[in-house]
Amino acid sequence: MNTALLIILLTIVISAALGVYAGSRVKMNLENWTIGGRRFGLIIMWLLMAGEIYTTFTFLGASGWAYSRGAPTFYILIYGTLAYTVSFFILPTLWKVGKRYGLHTQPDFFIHRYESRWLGVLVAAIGVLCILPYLQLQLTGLGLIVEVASEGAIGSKTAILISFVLTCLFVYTSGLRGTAWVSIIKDIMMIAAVGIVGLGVPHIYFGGFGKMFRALLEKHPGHLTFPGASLNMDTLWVMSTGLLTGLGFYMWPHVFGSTFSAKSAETIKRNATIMPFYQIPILLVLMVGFTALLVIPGLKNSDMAFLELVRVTYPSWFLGFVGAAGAVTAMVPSSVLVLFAATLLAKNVYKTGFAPQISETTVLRLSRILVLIIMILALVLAFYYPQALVNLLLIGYNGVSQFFPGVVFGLFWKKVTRLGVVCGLLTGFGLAAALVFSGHDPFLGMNAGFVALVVNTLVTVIICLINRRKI
Amino acid sequence: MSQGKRVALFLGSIPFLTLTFALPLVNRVEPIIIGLPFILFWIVLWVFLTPFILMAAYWLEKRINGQESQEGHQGVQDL
Repeated sequence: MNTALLIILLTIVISAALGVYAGSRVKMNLENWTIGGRRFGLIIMWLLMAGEIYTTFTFLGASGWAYSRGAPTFYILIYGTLAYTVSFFILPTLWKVGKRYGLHTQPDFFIHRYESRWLGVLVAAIGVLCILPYLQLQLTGLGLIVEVASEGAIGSKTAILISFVLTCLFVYTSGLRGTAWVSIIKDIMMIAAVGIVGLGVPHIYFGGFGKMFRALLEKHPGHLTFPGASLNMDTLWVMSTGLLTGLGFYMWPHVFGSTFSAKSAETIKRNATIMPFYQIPILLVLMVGFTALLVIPGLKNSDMAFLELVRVTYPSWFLGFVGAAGAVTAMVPSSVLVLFAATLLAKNVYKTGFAPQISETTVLRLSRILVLIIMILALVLAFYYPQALVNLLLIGYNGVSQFFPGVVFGLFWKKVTRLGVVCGLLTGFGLAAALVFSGHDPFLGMNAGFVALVVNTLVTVIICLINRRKI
Repeated sequence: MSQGKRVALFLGSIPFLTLTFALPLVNRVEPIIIGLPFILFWIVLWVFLTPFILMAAYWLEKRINGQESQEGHQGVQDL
C-alpha cells in the first residue's frame, strides 16, 4: 500500500468517525438532525458555511477554468463576495422568521409566508432537481481526485463507493451536526493544501506570481482580461453571472436551510462580515490554474490541471494529502446536499403534499431512508452520466436563483402576493431552462439565468401590483 | 427604515458598484500592481476590503440605531 493511499483512506475514515461521534451524544429529533438544534455559534457557523461552499468545484473547476478560459473565472472571486454582502442584509431577518415560526427548510418558508402547501411542494421539487446534479458533481469530482491522487491505486468508482457509504453513515446518524464537525477537518486540510500549492507552484517555476503573470501575458496576451480564452464570456457575462450567482447563492436549499442552524440573528450577521475572507484561497487556486497552463500545457481535461501540476511538482505523499483534502471537500458538501434533499422530499413533498397528518418522528425516519435512496441515485448518475463539472453547477444556479424574489419580497415587502410569486417563479424557471437547453446561454452576452431572474422579478412585481388581493 | 439601516445599505452597495458595475472600466492588464494584472488587482482589492466594509456597516448601524433609541424615536422592530 503506498503512502498516498494510506493518507487518503485514513482521512476519509477519521472524518466519517468524527461525523458519527458528533451526533452520538444528542437525542435526535427533526430539528436536531436537520438544523443542529438551532445552536451553532459564530465559529462553527463559519466552518460549516465554508465547508458547504468550498466544494470540489473550488479545487478542480476553478483551477480548470483559469487554465482553459482565463479571466472569466474571476467571477468566482466576485460572486461569493456579493453573496456574503446580500446575506448580511437578508439572513438575520430570515433567521428571526425561522425561529419564530419553527421553520426548518426553504419550502417551509414559502408555505408559511404565502400560506400555500402547493407552493411549498413546488419549491421543494425545484430545489431537489437543482441539488441532484450538484450532488453528482461532488461524486464525480471525488472519484477523479482520489484516482489521480492515489496514482491509480484506487479506481474512481471504488473511491466514490467507499466515501459515500461513509458519508451516508454520518449523515444518517448525526445530520447537520455531523457535517459541521467534519467541516473542521475539511477546512483545515483544504486551506493547507491550497495555501501550500497556490503559494508554492508560481514560486517554484517562476520565482513568484508576478513573474508567472508576466510569462503568461507574454505567451497568452488575451488570457487575463475578459473574455479570456473563452469565446462568449465577455465583461457583460462576468457582470451578469456575478450578480446571478451572488444573489442565488443563499437560495440553494441547503445553504438557506443551514442559516437556521445559527443560534441567533446576531451570529448570522457577524458571520456575514467575516465570510468574505474565505475568498482569498480562491485566488490561490486560480494561480495554480494559471501556472499549470504554462508548465503543463495541452491537458485534455482542464479540470485535472490542479492535480496534474501537484503530481509533477511534489512527492507522492503530498499528492496523497491533496487527494485526501479533495475527498473530504467532496464529502462535506455532499452530506449537506443529501441531507436537505432528503428533508425536502420527506417534509415538504411527502408530508406537506400528501400526508399532513404524519408526525415529525416519521418525517425524520423517512428523511433518513431517503438519504440512502438519493445517494444511490446520485451514484448511478455519477457512474453512467458524468458530465463537465462547471456547466452542471451553472444550470443549478439558474434554477435556485429564481427563488430570490419570493424570498426577499416575502421578507421585506408587505404587498407581495402568492399569485405574483408563483407566476414569477414559474416564468423565471421556465425561461432559464428554455434558454439553457436551447443553447442560448449566454443570451445577448448575458448569463441566461440572470435574464430569467430579471424577467421573474418584473413579472412578480407587476402581478403583485395588479392583484393586491390574495388568491 | 432606520437611519442606521440606510447607512448600512449604502455601505453594502459598494461591493456591487465596484465588483459588478465598474468592471467594464477596469478590464485591462496595465498597470500591473503588486504583480497582478490590473483587473485581477481591482477584484482582489475589493474582495479583501468587503469584510471591513461590512464590519463598518455592522458597527455603524448599531451605533446610529442605539443613539436613536436613546432619543426615543426608534422605529422599534427593524426587520
